[in-house]
Amino acid sequence: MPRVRALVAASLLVAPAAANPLGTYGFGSREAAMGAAMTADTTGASATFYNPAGLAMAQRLTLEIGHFNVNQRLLIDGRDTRTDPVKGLNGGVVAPGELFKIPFAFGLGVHLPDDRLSRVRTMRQDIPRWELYDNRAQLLFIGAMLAVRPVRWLSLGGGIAFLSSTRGDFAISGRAQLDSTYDSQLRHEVDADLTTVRVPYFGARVELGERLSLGLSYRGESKLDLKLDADIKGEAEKLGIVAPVRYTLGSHSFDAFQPRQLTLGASARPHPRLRANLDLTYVQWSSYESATSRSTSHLEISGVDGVLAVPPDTKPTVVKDPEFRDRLVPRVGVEGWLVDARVRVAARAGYVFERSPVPPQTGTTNFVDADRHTLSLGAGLRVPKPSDVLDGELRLDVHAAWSFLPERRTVKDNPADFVGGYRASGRQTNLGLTLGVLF
Amino acid sequence: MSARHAAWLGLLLLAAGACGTAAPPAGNDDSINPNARLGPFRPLRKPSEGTSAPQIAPASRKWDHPAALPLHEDPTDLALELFVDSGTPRVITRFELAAGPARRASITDAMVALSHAADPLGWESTDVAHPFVLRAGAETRLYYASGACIGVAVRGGDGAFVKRPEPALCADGASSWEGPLVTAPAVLADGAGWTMFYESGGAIGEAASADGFVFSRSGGAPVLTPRPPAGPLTDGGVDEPFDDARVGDPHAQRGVSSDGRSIVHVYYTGENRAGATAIGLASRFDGGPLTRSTAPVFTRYDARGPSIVQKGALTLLITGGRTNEAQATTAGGVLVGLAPATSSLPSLVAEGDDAGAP
Repeated sequence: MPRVRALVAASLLVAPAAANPLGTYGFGSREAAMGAAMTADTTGASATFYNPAGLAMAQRLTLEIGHFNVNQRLLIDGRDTRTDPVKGLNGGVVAPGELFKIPFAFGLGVHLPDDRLSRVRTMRQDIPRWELYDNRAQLLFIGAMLAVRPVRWLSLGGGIAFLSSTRGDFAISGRAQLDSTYDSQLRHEVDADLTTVRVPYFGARVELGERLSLGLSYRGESKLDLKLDADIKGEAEKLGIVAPVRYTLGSHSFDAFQPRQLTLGASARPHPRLRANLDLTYVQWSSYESATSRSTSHLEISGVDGVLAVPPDTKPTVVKDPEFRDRLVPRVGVEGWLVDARVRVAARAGYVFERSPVPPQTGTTNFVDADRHTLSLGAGLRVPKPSDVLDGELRLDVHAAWSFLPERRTVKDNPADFVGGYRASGRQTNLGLTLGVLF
Repeated sequence: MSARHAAWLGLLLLAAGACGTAAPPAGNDDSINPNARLGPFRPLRKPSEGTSAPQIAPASRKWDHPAALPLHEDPTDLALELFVDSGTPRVITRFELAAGPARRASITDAMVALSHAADPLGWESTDVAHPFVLRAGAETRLYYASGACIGVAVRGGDGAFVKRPEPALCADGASSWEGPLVTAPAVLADGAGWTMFYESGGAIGEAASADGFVFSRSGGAPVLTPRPPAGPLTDGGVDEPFDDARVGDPHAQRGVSSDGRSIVHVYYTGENRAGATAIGLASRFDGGPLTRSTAPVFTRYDARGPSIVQKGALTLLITGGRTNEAQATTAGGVLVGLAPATSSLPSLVAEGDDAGAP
């Protein structure tokens, strides 16, 4: 019976929103250092995420690979919620060329979490958790993009991003000893698939002279569909009475929601050694759909009157509309270059403000969130023709970003709420580096 | 790709591999729940008895309406004194419950604390029941129901309770909602005075007092009534309200919201139209109406008659109920629930013990 109850509990679960980690922590160290204000600037592998049109600006075959590590200290009532760190490899390849004398480029970007390829953790919707930052690390991202530059001042790009998804079945059969569960003889079968969902990405970039670029990018909405079906068949033994048992459970939920986003960006170069970027992103969080599991369950057990109290079928979860709000996210970044005959060195800084899309949690849901301010710094090194075998360029970028989530206080309308009010605050540190080679 | 390209690619992969780390244990597995002490409660079990209820009073005697009071202020000391009503006619019995050797709870010093026969009062019936015990300063008061009224007794220096001659509150025939009896008192005492919640006519009413001995009704309406039925009575399944036939047996305590507002929590017995009972919770901010929680706090064993004891980070729910969940005839046990439900109580694993029972 404890196993049955565990499954009943599992049927009432919710998966956190867990949006794409690249949108939160950045793709590439140069990009993260400049507040990810890159829609009108980026040209490397990170263009597969920020603006695929930027791929068409690439001049050489480019390989990039990097790593970032985000440590999170997210608090509820002053207690660390031990939200998972976010770690992973970023990288990709950009291959430029010409087709009918029109410049084009193919780009492949990859984010590979170095903990797990995929992870799902579910909770009831009333349990407090950091909705936008919990569990979002475990997401595999692959973006395959194409870009063309039909005229010198215009680049267009687009493609498909792939996100991993999990679905599965499991079955348990055998005899459960309810008096001594450790003596149970049960067989477990798990069948899980790692499937993908596809998300469209589009972008455009306009060069207004030598000193100003404008960019526009669109990322489609996506969410991972999680399905779990369980079938338990067997016998339960209690006080010498053996009864046939069958328990079925179906659970359907969502994970890794990524809202639709439209970004307008500008990149100005008032001086050959100075660049200033500004992005403004519209994020459609209002379409966020609660990840609470829609579940059904049924328990059949007979011949145990007076011995076992058979629980009724679980009550279907009443899924609350999370009522998230759309938001505008401003991002700014600056970059200055020191030029030497042999190497070039850059210093970078950025700032991002993300207003929380989560409304006050006065009811039974507890999607914890707060506004987020991110300050970032970084440096870059460019070494042209570093050796006889490489006549392109060697690039090394590092970044450090600090996010501050000021305290947000939640007060419940119902004084009998089982969770009650709480204070939420936090901070995140993001460190990383990216190594790139232009051939 | 040329050899030099492959060489540089290999260098990149080597650098990336050096950054990779092994997966740590999944974090954030503990939910954070600021109000977890309010409930829901999980039953403390008697491991040796399987599905039998986790009673701490002997099943052979049908003890009911438990009221608990900590014996010591130390938040780590879980010793309690319990008052229950039992027998025919009903008398109130007191015993002490403490963690004994081998983590067994031991019942000691059982004695009749209050009865009609030993000290009869004119307004009482022969039954003395529904104890509620309260420590106010240096004084311990025992409220009880008898006849159509609620009385109060005060513990003297010798440990015996002495009844006050006048009742604290009696049924009011003029009241539009009350029944012929008032019963199941629960009293709050603080700087603002004394507040009593009581049951009458299947609902819960409220009365106030300046001294805690004589109460007058607060308003002309109950503060909590049965929930409106959701529809035709079916099988009492999960979609049925647990309290659409009766609410009663209140137990009140104070709390504070996250923004510093004073809250009154009222635990109560809810009974549905199928006759099943469970423990519910309704709370209010000062001056506001009672609002129910989204779910009952304890639904097992047909529990009824809650009494709440807070000890440090834990809350104990002491309640009456069945001694075997699968058999409707086995009533009369005293059960213990624990909140937060994910916590444990290693020093008090409830084991029934007849030793010392009168």
